[in-house]
Amino acid sequence: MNAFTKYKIKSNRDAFYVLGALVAMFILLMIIHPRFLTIQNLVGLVQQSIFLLIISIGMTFVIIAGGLDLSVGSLMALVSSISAMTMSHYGFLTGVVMGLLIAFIIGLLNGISIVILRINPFIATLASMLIARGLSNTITNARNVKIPTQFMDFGQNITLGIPNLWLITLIICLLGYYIIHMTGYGIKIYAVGSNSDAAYVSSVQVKLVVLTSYIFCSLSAGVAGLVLTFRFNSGLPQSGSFLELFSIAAVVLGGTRIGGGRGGILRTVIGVFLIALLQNGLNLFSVNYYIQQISIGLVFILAAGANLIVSKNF
Amino acid sequence: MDFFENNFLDIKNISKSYVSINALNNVSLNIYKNEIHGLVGENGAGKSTLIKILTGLEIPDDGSIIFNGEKYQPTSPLDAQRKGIAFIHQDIHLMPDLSVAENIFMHDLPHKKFIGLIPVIDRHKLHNNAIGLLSALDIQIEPHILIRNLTAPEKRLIEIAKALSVNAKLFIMDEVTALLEHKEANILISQLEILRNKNVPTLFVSHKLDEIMKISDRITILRDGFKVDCVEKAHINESHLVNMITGKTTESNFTQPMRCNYNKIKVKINNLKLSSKSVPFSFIVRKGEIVSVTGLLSSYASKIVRALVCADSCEIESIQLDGKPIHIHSPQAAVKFGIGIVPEDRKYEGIIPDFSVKWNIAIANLDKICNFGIINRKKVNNLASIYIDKFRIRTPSVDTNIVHLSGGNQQKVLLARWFAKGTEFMLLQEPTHGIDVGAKIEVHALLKKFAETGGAILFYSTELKELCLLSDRVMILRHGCLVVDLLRSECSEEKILSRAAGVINK
Repeated sequence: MNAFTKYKIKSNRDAFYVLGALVAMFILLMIIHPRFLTIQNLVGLVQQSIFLLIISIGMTFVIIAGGLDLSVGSLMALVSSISAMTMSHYGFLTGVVMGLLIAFIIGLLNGISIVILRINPFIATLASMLIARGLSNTITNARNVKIPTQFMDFGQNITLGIPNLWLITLIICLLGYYIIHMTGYGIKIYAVGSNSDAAYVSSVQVKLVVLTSYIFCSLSAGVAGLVLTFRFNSGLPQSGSFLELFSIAAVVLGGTRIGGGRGGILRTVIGVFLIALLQNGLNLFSVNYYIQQISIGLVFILAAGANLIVSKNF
Repeated sequence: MDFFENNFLDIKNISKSYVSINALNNVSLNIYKNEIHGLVGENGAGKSTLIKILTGLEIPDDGSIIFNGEKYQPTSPLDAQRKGIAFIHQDIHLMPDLSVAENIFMHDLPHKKFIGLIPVIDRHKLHNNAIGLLSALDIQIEPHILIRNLTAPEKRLIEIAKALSVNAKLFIMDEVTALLEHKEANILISQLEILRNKNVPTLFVSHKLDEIMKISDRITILRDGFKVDCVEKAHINESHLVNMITGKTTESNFTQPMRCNYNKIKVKINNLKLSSKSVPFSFIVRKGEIVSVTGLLSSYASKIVRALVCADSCEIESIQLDGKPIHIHSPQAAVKFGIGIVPEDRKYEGIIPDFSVKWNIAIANLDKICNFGIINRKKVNNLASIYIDKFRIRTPSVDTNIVHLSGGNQQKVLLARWFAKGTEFMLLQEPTHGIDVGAKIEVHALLKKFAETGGAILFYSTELKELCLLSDRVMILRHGCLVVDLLRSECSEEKILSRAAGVINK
């Protein structure tokens, strides 16, 4: 059993480093800024990061399977707009279903262009990113769409002591964890990302696995769009720019490998909160938004470099 | 004899052609229920195409297959498996980031119900199933380990375990023993014999003719896409088989006297420690000398090439090249010191897949093909043509993508790359792994010629015949320690094997 423990530590050691970085950053902010450890600030921090978190769960699927999805930010805006518009005419449930349906369709289109037309994922999802953004701006004339007042409570209500939207985020995380880490489909996602040829001869339906990973990703962007609508009580056609990039960054920062085969949901959660803490810290010190972008970019380079050094040594 | 009545798999007049090559011409083959059927032929003879058709990776242009009384035309590997065919391909097909257990049972992951409701993977059962299977096959590998942490032979053992875990009606094994030691190969062979006695036949492809002769009941020979013959083992001997494979009577150029004019030491390695527990050892390679390293799977001998070019992998006190101490921390650095490396995994570490033949040769020789830093295309073509002629590399043109060449010709391109560079010390790992008999002789001749002109060679191999024929000295390792350093005159296949296994018989 000696060999086993050795390898186990090896493969998960970098996860501890990322978690360590998160804890260290939390403690640092606690010490250097008195307003950090207040209920108000922490609630705000979570409130701001739930969209990124939901989207990154789906992104984790696609990246572990060896792909990439650039369309999630625009798709979130499109789902937000469409659900808000449908809701004001046809009611709550129709709005929600309509939003998820459009997300499903975009995911299916992404999957088909990648799996069947064999278009590079970067190009295919870049195209659907433009299409989704254009669509959401066209149907709304690029203006925010208010949802009917009777539905406005949903986003602010609390169930079982947890705000509704937080509860949805939690469910998405648990669902993502369940699918990736506890089902055969999850192992197949790793198999495809690790070596798709080998997976194919091991009787994995590679095309189906890749296709569904894009559908899961788009659906999570759809849920993020709905959550966004209920959070601000309106459809926001211009929201979510750069979100796809932050989401990829969060997944990779957590230690999931671009190119596939390695990673996990917990790592993504850690990655998302690392970014959230970083942004929060910069906000607390009222750093200018553009300077924030520069600092976050620099942190990514540092983190990726550190990750490389760590993985080389172990 | 009811032996002949069990036409379990009946391949009739199969043809398959690619763009310009007829890979298979009217080939028929039948397999009985209780036999191990050997399939031999040089690379390019059509073995791989036939296997690809049987495993659903290719669809034949013409002909029909009857399997177990039904028409059989698989559309994918999954389809072939569902119909009861288990197979192992020549190249290792495993998921490196998944564990041993997950790789073995990918086709059938055990599930349980979480709180009696939600289906989840039963990791405990998965682990136990893997332990059961591996210990039944006498394979000592922990099922939790990720495939990426295994050596190539260990990966092969896992593939074998994976194939045997399926309750298949027919096994197809393509070159599976190439990486294995005798002991491990014997585990496989005895398993296949048990299966045969249970009326589960095997189609067994190998370049190792002695093995084919030992294991098969009947042997089918292919050459250039045609079936030469199908013979019963009792009616044939090894040299006859070689003639049928190559289509010509072989001269005994396999064995020729070796030169021995070593005077100058080319490389000196001091205190190499291959594993944490092993005793360090030192050795030298002289100019004009071919030294080989071998040992069983547990000997760490296969690590030697990596150990010399990657400083991180093992402890070495010092390396001296031409009397000067050097420090090699990466393969790139090794190349800078004029060391040529031909790795074991030709497909992933040797050739550059999307490059043409000429660029695969030219890539390490940019200084020779550039005028003031600008590439001169004429020089590239010249360089490549010279070596294609000299090494008799069989390729349609210098611009052909290297992946279209057979394994033997790819290996010759790799040698050309280094020889063109003027390399004086070559490190090779399994220099003729997966190469047909004809190309093997040619590669051996090239390496001998290299040594005759003053080059030094260190290679690792597990092929006994190759060790005896090619090397001036054979170093045998056990558990990471040097057991014995045999001179060419002292070498025999039996001796190498017994010393490697730790049986001392004088």
